[in-house]
Amino acid sequence: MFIESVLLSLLCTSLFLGSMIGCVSAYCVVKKQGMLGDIMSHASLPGITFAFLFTKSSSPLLLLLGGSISALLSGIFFLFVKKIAPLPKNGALALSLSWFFNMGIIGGAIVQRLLIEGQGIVKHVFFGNFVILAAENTHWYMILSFLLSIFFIVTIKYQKVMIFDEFFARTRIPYLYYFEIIFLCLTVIAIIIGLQAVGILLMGSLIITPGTVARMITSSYEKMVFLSIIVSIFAFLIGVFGVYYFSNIPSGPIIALFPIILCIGTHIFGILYSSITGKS
Amino acid sequence: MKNNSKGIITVEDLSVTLNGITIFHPTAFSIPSGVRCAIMGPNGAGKTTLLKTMIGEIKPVSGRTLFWDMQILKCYKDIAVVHQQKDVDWNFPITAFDLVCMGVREYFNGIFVSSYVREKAREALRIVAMEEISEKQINELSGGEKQRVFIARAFAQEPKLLLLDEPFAGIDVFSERIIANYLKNFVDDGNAVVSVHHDLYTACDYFDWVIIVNKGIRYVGPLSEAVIKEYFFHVY
Repeated sequence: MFIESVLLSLLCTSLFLGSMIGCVSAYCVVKKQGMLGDIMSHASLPGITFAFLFTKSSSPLLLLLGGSISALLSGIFFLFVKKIAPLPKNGALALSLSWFFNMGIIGGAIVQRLLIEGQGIVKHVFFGNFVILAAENTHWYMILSFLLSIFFIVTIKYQKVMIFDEFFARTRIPYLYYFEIIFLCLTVIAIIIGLQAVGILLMGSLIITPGTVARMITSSYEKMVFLSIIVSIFAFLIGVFGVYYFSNIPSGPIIALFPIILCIGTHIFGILYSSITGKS
Repeated sequence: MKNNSKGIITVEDLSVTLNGITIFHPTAFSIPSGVRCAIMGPNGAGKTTLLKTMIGEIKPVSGRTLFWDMQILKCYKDIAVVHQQKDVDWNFPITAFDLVCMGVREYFNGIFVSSYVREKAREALRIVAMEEISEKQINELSGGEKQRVFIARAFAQEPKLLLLDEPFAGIDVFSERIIANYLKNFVDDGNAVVSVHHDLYTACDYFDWVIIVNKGIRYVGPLSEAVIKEYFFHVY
């Protein structure tokens, strides 16, 4: 009975998390912010480790709050470097990643050395643990994921205008700047929520691959969001069953593996299709 | 400065500095309604800078631009802007039809694109003779077709003033004629067009008013062969 309720909870969490990550993935891929999403997920590490060091609490809410702050700071740091330094976009991204991830590694090393009780939670943050996520009170995860997904779906038209033609968007959406900040914050929140299931190391992969698979299949942004959601949900479901049957394997790699296989498969199918039919 | 009467656009004491270089010293002029106005000048003269400053994309050091004696935020729905194509993400998954839908005022109403918006978009595409390839992806269109689609989007906005940045750059003669014809009809309906333009040979055919720019405003007024000879002799 207990196992069944945990499994049901995991399935519901998969549905909502998958929807949210799918929306964010489609948005990040077309906005060419996949790399920024990856960096922000890595950059959450110093926030998590230092939140744990200072509070000695293994409460996921507290750790993820720390993670959110440092992820957001990394995004701001990237924008700041891009503005003041004569660096290309990739250079500014690399600088942000190396700075914040190094800080996180140092924090992680200190946590390990001090042997603080409950430090296992920090390890789970690296590779993800879906079972812990579901065993905790998952209602707020689900509600937040649901609200985020709804927001992303409702604002699809705004996203299209903003991403496709920024100058035009400025003439149509008077408060465009605030919209962009909202989307950046929502991306950070989605990454941080997904971290517990997928882990810091593989969250970037999950931000990029579902949207990429969807982009390879369709040429419509609406369909792309829908397909990206489907891919993400399936990835999480496979992760759930993977963890259920192979309890010693972390959930992150199982979840991230499915979209990667699908991405390679879609690419190969695309090559074969275009060589047979002559169409792209 | 031959024309200082209140018009559809009134520029008051506008001064612009970019990267420490003053592009425009305090300058004032106005553009009357019912004209096709070209902003002309040599490369790097500040034509696009002037256009972008007028619509608030570049912040001036001093001065302001009024449209119908109002700030742009109060009347932005009546103004359609067509930027240079290089500012657009061509890899974005969107069809020509979807792009034109974006221009319709009611586009943001509701989650789905309404049949009213679709009809308006079809009508706009029909004007620029693009309805047959409306379902093509935007990156599959030629330069001229892209420009016509962007003009269609501007038309779908049902504006009273159309601001264009080099609408004839890099397009074929067929597309150029369609756009020029559309602009003429648009102005004949009582609206106005302000466009950055660089071709001296077609200027008098497509426009009847001109702002000549070269490190400052050199002339604002009606466009004629005589004006081109007089001012462009010094400009080029």
